[in-house]
Amino acid sequence: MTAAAALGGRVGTVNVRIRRRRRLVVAGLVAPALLVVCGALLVPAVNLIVQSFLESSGYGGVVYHFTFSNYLDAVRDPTYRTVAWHSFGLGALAALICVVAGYPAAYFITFRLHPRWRNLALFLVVVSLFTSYLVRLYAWYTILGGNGIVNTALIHLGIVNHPLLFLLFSRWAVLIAFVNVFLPYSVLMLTSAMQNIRPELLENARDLGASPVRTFSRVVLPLTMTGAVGAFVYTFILTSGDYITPSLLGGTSSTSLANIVSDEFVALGDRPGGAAISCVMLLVFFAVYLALSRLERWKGI
Amino acid sequence: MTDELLSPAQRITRRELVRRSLLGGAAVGLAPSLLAALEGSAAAATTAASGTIDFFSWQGYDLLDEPVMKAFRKKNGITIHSTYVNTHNDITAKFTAGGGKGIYNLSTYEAGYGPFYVGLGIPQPLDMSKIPNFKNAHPIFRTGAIASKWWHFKGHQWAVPFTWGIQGINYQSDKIKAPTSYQDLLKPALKKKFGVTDDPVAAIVIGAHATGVFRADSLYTKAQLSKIIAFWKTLKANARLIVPSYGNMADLFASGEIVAATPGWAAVNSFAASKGDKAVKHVAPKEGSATFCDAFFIPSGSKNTDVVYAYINEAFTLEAQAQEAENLVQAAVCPGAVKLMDKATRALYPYAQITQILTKTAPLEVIPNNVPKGYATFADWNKAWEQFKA
Repeated sequence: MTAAAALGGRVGTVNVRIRRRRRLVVAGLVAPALLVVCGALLVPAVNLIVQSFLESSGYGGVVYHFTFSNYLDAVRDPTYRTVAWHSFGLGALAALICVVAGYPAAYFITFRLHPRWRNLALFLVVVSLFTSYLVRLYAWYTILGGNGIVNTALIHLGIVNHPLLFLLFSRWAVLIAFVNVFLPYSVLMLTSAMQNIRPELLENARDLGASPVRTFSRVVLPLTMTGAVGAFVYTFILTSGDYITPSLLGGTSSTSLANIVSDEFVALGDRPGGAAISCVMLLVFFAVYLALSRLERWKGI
Repeated sequence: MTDELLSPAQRITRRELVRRSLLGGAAVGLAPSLLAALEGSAAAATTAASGTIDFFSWQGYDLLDEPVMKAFRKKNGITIHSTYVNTHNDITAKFTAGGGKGIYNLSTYEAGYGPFYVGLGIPQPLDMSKIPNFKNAHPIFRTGAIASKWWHFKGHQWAVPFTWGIQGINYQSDKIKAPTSYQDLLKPALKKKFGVTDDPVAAIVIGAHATGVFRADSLYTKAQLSKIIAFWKTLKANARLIVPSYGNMADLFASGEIVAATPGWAAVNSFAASKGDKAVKHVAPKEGSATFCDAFFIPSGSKNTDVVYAYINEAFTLEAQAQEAENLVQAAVCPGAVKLMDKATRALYPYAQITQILTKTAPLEVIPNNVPKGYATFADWNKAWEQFKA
């Protein structure tokens, strides 16, 4: 009895040691990532939030005096409001198109393609991401430009007499570029979500007389809502905050909210002002994420 | 400005000659310069230091393509790592928000930014004993009212001006006639065929000329600033796009997307030519244009400054100045360099009237940071431009 108790005690001690060692290993493995997240994300974010409540004292300078005025300026300024509507509107539209267009592609890859071809299809989706972002933007010059492929084809086919100049340097061009860049990400996220759906569920739905639309709306959509929300939020955040695409392709309506933030920091040297607009953007992104998370719960499973 | 003084035929000749000399024939025109340059380089090499220059400014201002500077770098083992800017504000931001000081040891500022930058502690005082060739510069850049306003004040020399020029309209000479007025851009024939460059300072100055309110001290009331922005909004309504940078402007000309752009920059002619479009030219419309004068400065906290001093000093040899004027399609600051230029480059700017131009006809403009009450500040300029772009 005593020996058993002693043995039990030793086993208990060994277990505690093993658990401690495991915790140390886990901590060791997590620490670098945690440091990177803290150093590269958390510290700058806190710095940004703190600065947004300070006063600007000329180019690049701040006065350590607490104020809400930067936030009031950020939401009251008509220029910022106009640009914000355009940026968030365009971002939401791009995200919606990416998710809607991503579903058929993801469905086809997951359920229609032979497993042998599935990996090749996914590889082809990923390959489109290999080209530099900037190169892809400049590629639109040769596609949509006045002397580009589309206009040349339209003129040769006799559909138009003059190049359609609105194709490039407009909000539409920005939207097309956004969809071009972010659609592959949506397809990947949705494919990943669909791979968790057992094919038997779709067969069962069909056997029970559900139409393809009903099968999609009652089975596929609820089960892939997490992927859809992820794809939407990811695309929305990155497109609403995009700096370079509106500048290169936006024409005379090229200013995005990110350009305004950049101007606040670089041109005006108003760090608190730029920080406040950035924080308002962050709040909008959080609000969209929270709202869509609620939508995810609605899936009814 | 100067193109006004030239006939269209002369303008065509100038560009053709510049390109020909650059691309094909340089041999005859540049041979004496090159020989003299090599001699000059050899002499300077005795005091030069080898090492790395980390350059942060406009494309072309690192003088990478000038034969004299190439030879100097090769002879002294100097390497240049260049980072180019899109707007002058990039320079301000880089050296105030961190990431600039201690990393870059050579940059440039436009004259008007001088007092502003010194106030922000961006440049360090220069040791002029290490730039003896600066004596080659025209007196207006070394002494007197202009020099003490922009580069030499508070008892120190903060920067050394090495090039100047004007900003009007760039245009595609094989597709349209040279615009003589900014109003020409409003003609139906140019609707949606030109760009407005995202350069607020040049734009405000040009707008001030176009609306008849220009003043060299840059003291504009907010009503005048609104008038200037209204002028740009009228142009924007007819424009195809806001051009994000001068480098992008060259791409847009080369791809045939635009046939004109303002504010322009003569150096874009060279950028576009390097992309295969040799028909881009620059003109100063009758209303006036923005004038700039850029100066080398060494940022505070710079390392390895001996090599930077040596490089700056070499840039003020007459040969380097002549080649730089030709390559950048801008004006040299050394009168002695004019005789080394080919005819076309020499005709580019009326060097004999340099004092008249920089003091009266097209004076360098102030960046209005400290202005009397009631006048628009530099922040107001930028804010107004932000509204214009929205």
